[in-house]
Amino acid sequence: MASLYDILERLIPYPFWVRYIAPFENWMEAQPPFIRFAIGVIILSVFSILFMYALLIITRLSYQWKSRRNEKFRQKAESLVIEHIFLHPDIERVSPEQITLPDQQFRTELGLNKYWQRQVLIDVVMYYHKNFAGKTAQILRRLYIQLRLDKISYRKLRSWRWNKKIEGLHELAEMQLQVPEVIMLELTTSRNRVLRMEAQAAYIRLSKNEPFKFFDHLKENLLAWEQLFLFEVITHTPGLNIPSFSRWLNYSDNKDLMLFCLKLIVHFNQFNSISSVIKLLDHRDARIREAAIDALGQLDAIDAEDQLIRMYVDQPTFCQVAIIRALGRIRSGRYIDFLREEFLRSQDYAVRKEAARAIIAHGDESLIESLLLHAPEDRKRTLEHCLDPLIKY
Amino acid sequence: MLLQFTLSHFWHQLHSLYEGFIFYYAAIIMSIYVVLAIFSALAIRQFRRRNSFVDYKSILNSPHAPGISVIAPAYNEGATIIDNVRSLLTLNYAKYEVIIVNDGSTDDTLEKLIREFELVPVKFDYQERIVTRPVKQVFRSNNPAYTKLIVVDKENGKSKADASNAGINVASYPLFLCTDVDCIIEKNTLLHMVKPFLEEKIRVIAVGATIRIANSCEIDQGVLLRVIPPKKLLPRFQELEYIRSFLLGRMAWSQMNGLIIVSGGLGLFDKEIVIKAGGYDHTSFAEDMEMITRMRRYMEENKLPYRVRYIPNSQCWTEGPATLKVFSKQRTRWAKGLIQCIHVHRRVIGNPKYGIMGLLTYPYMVLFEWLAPFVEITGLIFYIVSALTGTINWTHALILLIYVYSFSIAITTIAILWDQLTFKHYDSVWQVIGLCLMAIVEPILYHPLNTFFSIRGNYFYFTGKNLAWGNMSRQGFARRQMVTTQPSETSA
Repeated sequence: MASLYDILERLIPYPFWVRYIAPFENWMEAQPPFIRFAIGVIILSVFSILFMYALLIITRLSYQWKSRRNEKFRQKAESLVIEHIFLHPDIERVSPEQITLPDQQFRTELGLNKYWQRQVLIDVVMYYHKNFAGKTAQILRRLYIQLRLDKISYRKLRSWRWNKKIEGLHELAEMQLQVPEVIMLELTTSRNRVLRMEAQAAYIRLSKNEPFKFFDHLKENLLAWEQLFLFEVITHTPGLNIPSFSRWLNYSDNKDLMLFCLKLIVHFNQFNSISSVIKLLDHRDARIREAAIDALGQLDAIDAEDQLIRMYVDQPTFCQVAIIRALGRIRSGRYIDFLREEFLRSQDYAVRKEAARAIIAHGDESLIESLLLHAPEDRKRTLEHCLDPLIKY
Repeated sequence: MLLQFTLSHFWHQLHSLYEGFIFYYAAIIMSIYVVLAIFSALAIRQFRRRNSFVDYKSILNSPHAPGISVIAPAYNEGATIIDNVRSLLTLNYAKYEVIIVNDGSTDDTLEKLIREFELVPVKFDYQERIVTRPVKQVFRSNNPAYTKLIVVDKENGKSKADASNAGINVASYPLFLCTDVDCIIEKNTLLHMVKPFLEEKIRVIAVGATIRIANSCEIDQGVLLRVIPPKKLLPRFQELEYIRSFLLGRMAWSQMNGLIIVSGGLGLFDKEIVIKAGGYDHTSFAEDMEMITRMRRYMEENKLPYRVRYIPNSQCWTEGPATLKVFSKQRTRWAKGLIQCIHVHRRVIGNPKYGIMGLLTYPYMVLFEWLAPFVEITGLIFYIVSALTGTINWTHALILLIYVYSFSIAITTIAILWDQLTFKHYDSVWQVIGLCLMAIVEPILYHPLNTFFSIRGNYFYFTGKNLAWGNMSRQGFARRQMVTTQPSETSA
């Protein structure tokens, strides 16, 4: 307690201390330890409350002030961009390189001496670059470079803070500026998964030669979230050189990467990968087998049907469901009896329902009618469920 | 003389012993709160940094995003059901369905739904994977605009749990969001809540999010327009309590993977695990906590790695009880549910087989959630007796009171600070200060009420007194909407 006293003595102004606190020193020493502890907690709590109130007020007011300041600056920057780029009289007639940009005017009117000003301007330019294509986007890119805003983005990329690195990557990727592949490749294997994911996306967008080179070095998990994000980037980046993803099915040991490549193979309809996908039907991981079966179904791989039927009995239920789903998608008609058998035999509702769907997908009206007439009541209900056009699943 | 001396000595001994117990008990609770505050600060900071770059468009557009079934039981919700369903149908997510379970309403809830959404009965093959009261009919809409909507009409099961279970049986997607039909859900709720399921290496079995009080918020046709702190005293206290409990408590427990409560008002669950764990228990008065406990037990007993996650975003706005009568019913039920859950899962307490839940969360729930009201009441009685017998040291008593009181204000202020530093739902700083000032009167006005209803809930449980679930009578948003749009009329 003496130490708390010493601290307080140093913190509190001397006259105040002598007049109001010091007389209680003897009283405090006479108190039992738990009361002294309680007083300590009270003092600490009161100071914390006051500090938090002050912090709340200061941060809220500063937030509001900064928002207003940035908003004002943003409006000014936007009007300049609109005036000198969108409404430029020569924009339709000459090439983007020939348009003279009034960068000095931007500097004079916006200042751009402070970091926050340049950051707001970067946000404005990026926003318009994202929403406009063609000449306008190219002129915006030139403006970004001429105002040396790219220097800020490159500096961010060199920062030791991972979130700054991501900001830099975002900006450079959006403005389609070159980033040394060595730097990006290093970031694609970063231990920080947010940075890793953003670097992978930037690598795909910016790499001129091999946008999927980092797949070769991928050792870490490619989580479902990362897969969704990369899938979006890969399928929405214009002009991307799409390789045959079966390459990684054959050579990579990374199961997540295999699952991801299967999705990409299906999306890009890479029929020449079917043989590589069929090889995965013997994979020891049931998750991979299920995804491969689904991919074969979506690729209408008639050649795979026999193998799917052969392997059916040894598979866990979710793989069996996938096989029946694949047969329903392929619809060759060769295994309609198998589907009928499974529909009538299986005790598992998921198998039964998928078999009913597959039968319906084959469009064999006489079989459906016969099942509706002669199948047991529970199977009939399942079939009716699948036949109802208002029920999706 | 000797007897008097012995009694006096005994009383003196008891006095010292109890005083020491109270002091250490309070000190331990306070230490736990400080630890929780630190953990929650770390968790919120980590969450904010990780999510500051997230582009949710990836989930929104992706054909590979997991489907979600939104399950909302409805019982006699005729007044607001249409707005509420419309609000649920406008959530931002590509692959989801809305399942409204009409739990045997005696009003026109079902008729209104049928008329408004052009519903027709379908030949739905209802699989009773979790046992429920019989389902009478399943409806879907003829109108392509409402293809996401499924309405299940079932016999009243006298509990939300039974209706939710029927919804789970009908759900076709691997994840389901359980909510109340009268909750206002933020547009991006599904996007935010599904993310933890996608970004963990180990299986996430449930995700919760922050629920806030909507009593004075501006709401139009089930859509939240403006967040305003509740104006009435009771809901205002509840807002404070919710911020503290969700942001400080649950966030910290989530960080330690010890969370056992995902609120019934808003929770996203892994359907497979829920079904394997047996679904909601319709006899439980704290069915949300009970189900998470059972899901966790299932995972621990089968030695499956898992996580229960919590996100600090305010995703759901609900109407808190505005009258003492409704509030007392709710809190008594919660208290009864807590002791019921502790009793049912007593084997978990202190059992290392159940990991953090057994060693930390449940002992905490027993010692500091369930026992605390009893300690407070006995403390009060002790104070009174000591005062009457003249054995009280008033200076010490006052210091101890201020000790607990000042700490409770500090902890509530920390929770508000976390909320304001990160989310800034309120427009003005004065609204925040106003809320902070409520923390000063909360321990005097609101906390005793809570303590009383907790004791009442326990009394109901131990005496076997029935507590009907019933319908929580609410003032409804529609009425308040009128108030906010016509201020002159209300002031008159």
